[in-house]
Amino acid sequence: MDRYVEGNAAAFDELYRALSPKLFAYLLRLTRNRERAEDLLQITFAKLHRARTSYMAGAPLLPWVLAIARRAFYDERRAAKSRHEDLSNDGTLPEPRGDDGGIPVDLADALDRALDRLPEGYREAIQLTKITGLSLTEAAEVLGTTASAVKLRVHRGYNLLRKELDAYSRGS
Amino acid sequence: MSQPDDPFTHLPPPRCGEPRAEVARAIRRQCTRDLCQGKRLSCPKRVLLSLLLSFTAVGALVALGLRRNPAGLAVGTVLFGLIVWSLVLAIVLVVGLGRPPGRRIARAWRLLLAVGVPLAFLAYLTVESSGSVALAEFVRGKHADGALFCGAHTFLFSGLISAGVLLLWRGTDPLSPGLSGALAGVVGGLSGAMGMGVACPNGEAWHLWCAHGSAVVALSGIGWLVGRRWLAP
Repeated sequence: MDRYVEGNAAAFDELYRALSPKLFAYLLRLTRNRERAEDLLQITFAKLHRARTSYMAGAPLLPWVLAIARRAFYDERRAAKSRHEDLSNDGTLPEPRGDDGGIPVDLADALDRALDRLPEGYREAIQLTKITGLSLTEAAEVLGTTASAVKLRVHRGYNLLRKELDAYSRGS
Repeated sequence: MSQPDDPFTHLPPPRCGEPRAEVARAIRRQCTRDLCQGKRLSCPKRVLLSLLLSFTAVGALVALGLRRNPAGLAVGTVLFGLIVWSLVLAIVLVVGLGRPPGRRIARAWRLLLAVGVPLAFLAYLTVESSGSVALAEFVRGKHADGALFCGAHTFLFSGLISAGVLLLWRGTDPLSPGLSGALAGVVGGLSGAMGMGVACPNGEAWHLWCAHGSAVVALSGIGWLVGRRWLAP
Protein backbone atom coordinates (compact mmCIF):
# COMPACT_ATOMS: atom_id res chain seq x y z
CA MET A 1 0.00 0.00 0.00
CA ASP A 2 2.83 2.37 0.87
CA ARG A 3 4.43 1.90 -2.57
CA TYR A 4 1.04 2.38 -4.25
CA VAL A 5 0.54 5.67 -2.38
CA GLU A 6 4.00 6.70 -3.58
CA GLY A 7 2.75 6.33 -7.15
CA ASN A 8 4.02 2.85 -8.07
CA ALA A 9 1.61 1.27 -10.58
CA ALA A 10 3.18 -2.18 -10.22
CA ALA A 11 2.43 -2.03 -6.52
CA PHE A 12 -1.25 -1.70 -7.40
CA ASP A 13 -1.13 -5.03 -9.26
CA GLU A 14 0.26 -6.73 -6.17
CA LEU A 15 -2.35 -5.04 -4.04
CA TYR A 16 -5.11 -6.14 -6.39
CA ARG A 17 -3.89 -9.73 -6.44
CA ALA A 18 -3.78 -9.79 -2.63
CA LEU A 19 -7.09 -8.10 -1.96
CA SER A 20 -9.47 -8.87 -4.81
CA PRO A 21 -10.18 -12.60 -4.13
CA LYS A 22 -11.19 -11.95 -0.51
CA LEU A 23 -13.04 -8.75 -1.36
CA PHE A 24 -14.90 -10.36 -4.23
CA ALA A 25 -15.87 -13.39 -2.16
CA TYR A 26 -17.16 -11.10 0.59
CA LEU A 27 -19.14 -8.95 -1.85
CA LEU A 28 -20.49 -11.99 -3.64
CA ARG A 29 -21.74 -13.37 -0.35
CA LEU A 30 -23.33 -10.03 0.54
CA THR A 31 -25.01 -9.43 -2.80
CA ARG A 32 -25.54 -13.02 -3.98
CA ASN A 33 -25.23 -11.58 -7.46
CA ARG A 34 -22.06 -11.78 -9.54
CA GLU A 35 -22.59 -8.61 -11.56
CA ARG A 36 -23.45 -6.51 -8.53
CA ALA A 37 -20.43 -7.92 -6.71
CA GLU A 38 -18.22 -6.92 -9.66
CA ASP A 39 -19.74 -3.43 -9.72
CA LEU A 40 -19.16 -3.05 -6.00
CA LEU A 41 -15.61 -4.36 -6.34
CA GLN A 42 -14.97 -1.64 -8.89
CA ILE A 43 -16.56 1.01 -6.63
CA THR A 44 -14.50 -0.20 -3.67
CA PHE A 45 -11.22 0.02 -5.58
CA ALA A 46 -12.21 3.47 -6.92
CA LYS A 47 -12.77 4.61 -3.33
CA LEU A 48 -9.50 3.03 -2.27
CA HIS A 49 -7.75 4.92 -5.07
CA ARG A 50 -9.31 8.24 -4.07
CA ALA A 51 -8.62 7.70 -0.35
CA ARG A 52 -5.12 6.25 -0.72
CA THR A 53 -3.44 9.29 0.83
CA SER A 54 -5.79 9.07 3.83
CA TYR A 55 -4.65 5.52 4.58
CA MET A 56 -2.54 5.64 7.70
CA ALA A 57 0.58 3.52 7.81
CA GLY A 58 0.14 0.75 10.34
CA ALA A 59 -3.63 0.39 9.90
CA PRO A 60 -4.60 -3.21 9.02
CA LEU A 61 -5.31 -3.02 5.28
CA LEU A 62 -7.81 -5.85 4.77
CA PRO A 63 -10.32 -4.69 7.45
CA TRP A 64 -9.85 -1.13 6.14
CA VAL A 65 -10.80 -2.15 2.59
CA LEU A 66 -13.55 -4.56 3.69
CA ALA A 67 -15.17 -1.74 5.66
CA ILE A 68 -15.13 0.43 2.52
CA ALA A 69 -16.69 -2.42 0.52
CA ARG A 70 -19.36 -3.00 3.16
CA ARG A 71 -20.26 0.70 3.20
CA ALA A 72 -20.44 0.72 -0.60
CA PHE A 73 -22.83 -2.25 -0.47
CA TYR A 74 -25.15 -0.60 2.09
CA ASP A 75 -25.04 2.76 0.26
CA GLU A 76 -26.03 1.01 -2.95
CA ARG A 77 -28.82 -0.89 -1.22
CA ARG A 78 -30.14 2.32 0.36
CA ALA A 79 -30.05 4.05 -3.02
CA ALA A 80 -31.92 1.14 -4.61
CA LYS A 81 -34.58 1.36 -1.90
CA SER A 82 -34.99 5.10 -2.40
CA ARG A 83 -35.39 4.49 -6.15
CA HIS A 84 -38.23 2.12 -5.16
CA GLU A 85 -36.71 -0.78 -7.03
CA ASP A 86 -38.28 -4.12 -6.24
CA LEU A 87 -36.31 -5.66 -3.42
CA SER A 88 -36.64 -8.99 -1.73
CA ASN A 89 -37.45 -9.16 2.00
CA ASP A 90 -33.79 -8.83 3.02
CA GLY A 91 -33.45 -5.65 0.96
CA THR A 92 -31.39 -7.08 -1.87
CA LEU A 93 -32.22 -6.80 -5.53
CA PRO A 94 -34.09 -9.82 -6.85
CA GLU A 95 -31.67 -12.27 -8.36
CA PRO A 96 -32.87 -15.43 -10.01
CA ARG A 97 -30.53 -18.17 -8.87
CA GLY A 98 -30.03 -20.95 -11.32
CA ASP A 99 -29.64 -23.49 -8.56
CA ASP A 100 -32.70 -22.47 -6.54
CA GLY A 101 -34.69 -25.46 -5.46
CA GLY A 102 -32.26 -27.90 -7.02
CA ILE A 103 -30.35 -30.62 -5.23
CA PRO A 104 -26.80 -29.73 -4.15
CA VAL A 105 -24.29 -31.54 -6.34
CA ASP A 106 -21.69 -31.98 -3.59
CA LEU A 107 -20.80 -30.98 -0.07
CA ALA A 108 -19.21 -27.69 -1.15
CA ASP A 109 -22.37 -26.78 -3.03
CA ALA A 110 -24.49 -27.73 -0.01
CA LEU A 111 -22.33 -25.53 2.20
CA ASP A 112 -22.57 -22.68 -0.28
CA ARG A 113 -26.36 -22.90 -0.31
CA ALA A 114 -26.57 -23.28 3.46
CA LEU A 115 -24.43 -20.14 3.88
CA ASP A 116 -26.70 -18.22 1.51
CA ARG A 117 -29.73 -19.22 3.56
CA LEU A 118 -28.27 -17.91 6.83
CA PRO A 119 -29.55 -14.61 8.25
CA GLU A 120 -27.42 -11.72 7.01
CA GLY A 121 -25.73 -10.99 10.35
CA TYR A 122 -24.63 -14.61 10.88
CA ARG A 123 -23.56 -15.00 7.26
CA GLU A 124 -21.40 -11.88 7.36
CA ALA A 125 -19.78 -12.86 10.66
CA ILE A 126 -18.92 -16.35 9.36
CA GLN A 127 -17.73 -14.98 6.02
CA LEU A 128 -15.36 -12.49 7.66
CA THR A 129 -13.93 -14.77 10.34
CA LYS A 130 -13.92 -18.20 8.75
CA ILE A 131 -13.60 -17.54 5.03
CA THR A 132 -11.87 -14.16 4.80
CA GLY A 133 -9.69 -15.00 7.77
CA LEU A 134 -10.09 -11.92 9.96
CA SER A 135 -9.68 -12.16 13.71
CA LEU A 136 -12.77 -11.63 15.88
CA THR A 137 -11.55 -8.12 16.77
CA GLU A 138 -10.94 -7.19 13.13
CA ALA A 139 -14.33 -8.58 12.08
CA ALA A 140 -15.95 -6.61 14.91
CA GLU A 141 -14.29 -3.42 13.61
CA VAL A 142 -15.59 -4.06 10.09
CA LEU A 143 -19.11 -4.86 11.34
CA GLY A 144 -19.15 -1.97 13.82
CA THR A 145 -19.80 -4.15 16.83
CA THR A 146 -17.95 -5.94 19.63
CA ALA A 147 -15.83 -9.08 19.36
CA SER A 148 -18.17 -10.95 21.69
CA ALA A 149 -21.15 -10.07 19.48
CA VAL A 150 -19.29 -11.45 16.45
CA LYS A 151 -18.43 -14.60 18.38
CA LEU A 152 -22.09 -15.07 19.26
CA ARG A 153 -23.19 -14.56 15.66
CA VAL A 154 -20.61 -17.07 14.43
CA HIS A 155 -21.72 -19.58 17.05
CA ARG A 156 -25.40 -19.23 16.14
CA GLY A 157 -24.58 -19.30 12.45
CA TYR A 158 -22.62 -22.53 12.97
CA ASN A 159 -25.60 -24.12 14.73
CA LEU A 160 -27.84 -23.30 11.77
CA LEU A 161 -25.20 -24.47 9.27
CA ARG A 162 -24.77 -27.74 11.14
CA LYS A 163 -28.50 -28.45 10.97
CA GLU A 164 -28.58 -27.70 7.23
CA LEU A 165 -25.55 -29.90 6.53
CA ASP A 166 -26.90 -32.73 8.70
CA ALA A 167 -30.07 -32.65 6.64
CA TYR A 168 -27.97 -32.81 3.45
CA SER A 169 -25.91 -35.74 4.79
CA ARG A 170 -29.04 -37.69 5.71
CA GLY A 171 -30.58 -36.93 2.30
CA SER A 172 -27.55 -38.10 0.36
CA MET B 1 -12.22 -19.69 15.38
CA SER B 2 -11.41 -23.36 15.18
CA GLN B 3 -13.94 -25.02 17.42
CA PRO B 4 -14.34 -28.76 17.92
CA ASP B 5 -17.81 -28.64 16.35
CA ASP B 6 -16.73 -26.33 13.54
CA PRO B 7 -18.73 -27.35 10.44
CA PHE B 8 -15.94 -26.07 8.21
CA THR B 9 -13.31 -28.41 9.61
CA HIS B 10 -13.92 -31.30 7.23
CA LEU B 11 -15.46 -29.32 4.41
CA PRO B 12 -13.97 -27.77 1.28
CA PRO B 13 -13.95 -23.94 1.25
CA PRO B 14 -17.08 -22.46 -0.32
CA ARG B 15 -16.69 -21.60 -4.00
CA CYS B 16 -16.57 -17.94 -4.93
CA GLY B 17 -14.71 -17.58 -8.18
CA GLU B 18 -12.99 -14.46 -9.39
CA PRO B 19 -14.12 -11.25 -11.05
CA ARG B 20 -14.05 -11.33 -14.84
CA ALA B 21 -10.84 -10.30 -16.60
CA GLU B 22 -12.44 -7.21 -18.15
CA VAL B 23 -13.55 -6.05 -14.69
CA ALA B 24 -10.00 -6.51 -13.40
CA ARG B 25 -8.68 -4.55 -16.39
CA ALA B 26 -11.18 -1.73 -15.83
CA ILE B 27 -10.23 -1.54 -12.15
CA ARG B 28 -6.54 -1.44 -13.00
CA ARG B 29 -7.09 1.31 -15.57
CA GLN B 30 -9.11 3.33 -13.06
CA CYS B 31 -6.70 2.90 -10.18
CA THR B 32 -3.43 3.50 -11.99
CA ARG B 33 -4.62 6.69 -13.70
CA ASP B 34 -3.16 9.96 -12.35
CA LEU B 35 -0.85 8.06 -10.06
CA CYS B 36 1.59 10.43 -8.49
CA GLN B 37 3.29 10.57 -5.16
CA GLY B 38 0.55 11.43 -2.66
CA LYS B 39 1.22 13.46 0.45
CA ARG B 40 0.28 11.58 3.57
CA LEU B 41 -0.15 12.81 7.10
CA SER B 42 0.64 10.27 9.78
CA CYS B 43 -1.57 9.76 12.80
CA PRO B 44 0.72 11.62 15.26
CA LYS B 45 0.99 14.55 12.83
CA ARG B 46 -2.80 14.77 12.56
CA VAL B 47 -3.09 14.67 16.36
CA LEU B 48 -0.48 17.43 16.69
CA LEU B 49 -2.22 19.59 14.07
CA SER B 50 -5.58 19.05 15.79
CA LEU B 51 -4.05 20.04 19.12
CA LEU B 52 -2.43 23.09 17.53
CA LEU B 53 -5.74 24.15 15.96
CA SER B 54 -7.68 23.70 19.21
CA PHE B 55 -5.15 25.40 21.46
CA THR B 56 -4.66 28.29 19.02
CA ALA B 57 -8.42 28.84 18.97
CA VAL B 58 -8.65 28.59 22.77
CA GLY B 59 -5.67 30.95 23.13
CA ALA B 60 -7.26 33.49 20.78
CA LEU B 61 -10.58 33.33 22.64
CA VAL B 62 -8.86 33.63 26.03
CA ALA B 63 -6.83 36.63 24.85
CA LEU B 64 -10.00 38.22 23.51
CA GLY B 65 -11.86 37.47 26.74
CA LEU B 66 -9.12 38.86 28.97
CA ARG B 67 -8.99 42.08 26.93
CA ARG B 68 -12.74 42.54 27.03
CA ASN B 69 -13.26 41.76 30.67
CA PRO B 70 -10.05 41.53 32.66
CA ALA B 71 -11.55 42.67 35.96
CA GLY B 72 -14.50 40.27 36.10
CA LEU B 73 -12.40 37.09 36.15
CA ALA B 74 -11.02 35.04 38.98
CA VAL B 75 -7.83 34.33 37.04
CA GLY B 76 -6.62 31.47 39.26
CA THR B 77 -9.87 29.50 38.88
CA VAL B 78 -10.04 30.18 35.18
CA LEU B 79 -6.46 29.07 34.62
CA PHE B 80 -6.98 25.89 36.65
CA GLY B 81 -10.09 25.05 34.60
CA LEU B 82 -8.24 25.79 31.36
CA ILE B 83 -5.31 23.56 32.26
CA VAL B 84 -7.49 20.65 33.38
CA TRP B 85 -9.76 20.76 30.33
CA SER B 86 -6.84 21.30 27.96
CA LEU B 87 -5.41 18.07 29.36
CA VAL B 88 -8.75 16.31 28.88
CA LEU B 89 -8.87 17.61 25.30
CA ALA B 90 -5.37 16.28 24.63
CA ILE B 91 -6.33 12.91 26.16
CA VAL B 92 -9.44 12.70 23.93
CA LEU B 93 -7.28 13.29 20.85
CA VAL B 94 -4.38 11.05 21.79
CA VAL B 95 -6.39 8.15 23.22
CA GLY B 96 -9.40 8.40 20.89
CA LEU B 97 -7.71 9.16 17.58
CA GLY B 98 -3.98 8.81 18.22
CA ARG B 99 -3.50 5.45 16.50
CA PRO B 100 -4.51 4.27 13.00
CA PRO B 101 -8.04 2.84 12.61
CA GLY B 102 -8.04 -0.83 13.54
CA ARG B 103 -5.28 -0.28 16.11
CA ARG B 104 -7.21 2.07 18.36
CA ILE B 105 -8.45 1.28 21.86
CA ALA B 106 -11.67 -0.69 22.19
CA ARG B 107 -14.84 0.85 20.78
CA ALA B 108 -16.45 0.85 24.26
CA TRP B 109 -13.68 3.05 25.70
CA ARG B 110 -13.90 5.49 22.81
CA LEU B 111 -17.67 5.60 23.23
CA LEU B 112 -17.15 6.30 26.91
CA LEU B 113 -14.89 9.23 25.97
CA ALA B 114 -17.42 10.62 23.46
CA VAL B 115 -20.28 10.44 25.97
CA GLY B 116 -18.47 10.80 29.29
CA VAL B 117 -16.39 13.91 28.54
CA PRO B 118 -19.39 16.13 27.63
CA LEU B 119 -21.24 14.89 30.72
CA ALA B 120 -18.17 15.50 32.91
CA PHE B 121 -17.92 19.00 31.46
CA LEU B 122 -21.57 19.68 32.37
CA ALA B 123 -20.84 18.42 35.91
CA TYR B 124 -17.79 20.70 36.10
CA LEU B 125 -19.91 23.70 35.06
CA THR B 126 -22.41 22.82 37.79
CA VAL B 127 -19.66 22.81 40.40
CA GLU B 128 -18.12 26.02 39.02
CA SER B 129 -21.40 27.97 38.86
CA SER B 130 -21.80 30.82 41.29
CA GLY B 131 -25.53 30.23 41.83
CA SER B 132 -28.69 29.70 39.86
CA VAL B 133 -31.97 31.46 39.22
CA ALA B 134 -35.32 29.69 38.84
CA LEU B 135 -35.81 28.21 35.37
CA ALA B 136 -38.96 30.32 34.82
CA GLU B 137 -36.92 33.44 35.53
CA PHE B 138 -34.03 32.29 33.33
CA VAL B 139 -36.13 31.74 30.21
CA ARG B 140 -37.51 35.29 30.37
CA GLY B 141 -35.85 38.65 29.90
CA LYS B 142 -32.16 39.47 30.02
CA HIS B 143 -31.02 36.04 31.23
CA ALA B 144 -32.36 34.39 28.09
CA ASP B 145 -31.02 37.14 25.83
CA GLY B 146 -27.58 36.83 27.38
CA ALA B 147 -27.59 33.04 27.08
CA LEU B 148 -28.73 33.24 23.47
CA PHE B 149 -25.97 35.69 22.55
CA CYS B 150 -23.31 33.74 24.42
CA GLY B 151 -24.60 30.36 23.17
CA ALA B 152 -24.58 31.53 19.55
CA HIS B 153 -20.92 32.55 19.90
CA THR B 154 -19.96 29.30 21.64
CA PHE B 155 -21.67 27.26 18.91
CA LEU B 156 -20.03 29.34 16.18
CA PHE B 157 -16.50 28.98 17.56
CA SER B 158 -16.96 25.34 18.57
CA GLY B 159 -18.45 24.52 15.19
CA LEU B 160 -15.57 26.12 13.34
CA ILE B 161 -12.95 24.29 15.41
CA SER B 162 -14.83 20.96 15.04
CA ALA B 163 -15.04 21.48 11.28
CA GLY B 164 -11.29 22.10 11.19
CA VAL B 165 -10.54 18.95 13.18
CA LEU B 166 -12.95 16.90 11.04
CA LEU B 167 -11.25 18.18 7.89
CA LEU B 168 -7.87 17.16 9.28
CA TRP B 169 -9.14 13.59 9.72
CA ARG B 170 -11.20 13.50 6.52
CA GLY B 171 -11.43 10.09 4.81
CA THR B 172 -9.22 8.37 7.35
CA ASP B 173 -11.58 6.02 9.16
CA PRO B 174 -13.85 3.54 7.37
CA LEU B 175 -14.13 1.41 10.52
CA SER B 176 -15.81 3.77 13.00
CA PRO B 177 -16.29 7.16 11.30
CA GLY B 178 -19.24 8.14 13.49
CA LEU B 179 -17.35 7.59 16.71
CA SER B 180 -14.24 9.39 15.45
CA GLY B 181 -16.47 12.26 14.30
CA ALA B 182 -18.06 12.43 17.75
CA LEU B 183 -14.60 12.68 19.33
CA ALA B 184 -13.65 15.46 16.89
CA GLY B 185 -16.90 17.19 17.88
CA VAL B 186 -16.01 16.86 21.57
CA VAL B 187 -12.59 18.42 20.89
CA GLY B 188 -14.14 21.36 19.01
CA GLY B 189 -16.94 21.77 21.55
CA LEU B 190 -14.53 21.76 24.49
CA SER B 191 -12.23 24.29 22.81
CA GLY B 192 -15.09 26.70 22.08
CA ALA B 193 -16.65 26.29 25.53
CA MET B 194 -13.29 26.78 27.30
CA GLY B 195 -12.57 29.93 25.33
CA MET B 196 -16.05 31.35 25.93
CA GLY B 197 -15.77 30.42 29.60
CA VAL B 198 -13.02 33.02 29.88
CA ALA B 199 -14.70 35.60 27.66
CA CYS B 200 -18.05 35.40 29.46
CA PRO B 201 -18.17 36.52 33.11
CA ASN B 202 -21.64 35.07 33.79
CA GLY B 203 -21.45 32.26 36.38
CA GLU B 204 -25.15 31.45 36.63
CA ALA B 205 -25.79 27.70 36.38
CA TRP B 206 -28.50 27.69 33.66
CA HIS B 207 -26.42 30.09 31.59
CA LEU B 208 -23.36 27.86 31.88
CA TRP B 209 -25.31 24.72 30.92
CA CYS B 210 -27.29 26.22 28.04
CA ALA B 211 -24.78 28.69 26.60
CA HIS B 212 -21.48 26.90 27.25
CA GLY B 213 -21.96 23.19 28.06
CA SER B 214 -24.67 22.44 25.53
CA ALA B 215 -22.22 23.12 22.67
CA VAL B 216 -20.00 20.23 23.79
CA VAL B 217 -22.95 17.83 23.98
CA ALA B 218 -24.48 19.03 20.71
CA LEU B 219 -21.21 18.98 18.77
CA SER B 220 -20.50 15.47 19.97
CA GLY B 221 -23.80 14.41 18.32
CA ILE B 222 -23.30 16.56 15.23
CA GLY B 223 -19.74 15.24 14.93
CA TRP B 224 -21.15 11.70 14.96
CA LEU B 225 -23.47 12.49 12.05
CA VAL B 226 -20.97 14.53 10.03
CA GLY B 227 -18.16 12.07 10.74
CA ARG B 228 -20.14 9.23 9.15
CA ARG B 229 -19.95 11.11 5.85
CA TRP B 230 -16.65 12.99 6.11
CA LEU B 231 -14.41 10.53 7.87
CA ALA B 232 -15.36 7.44 5.86
CA PRO B 233 -13.41 7.14 2.58
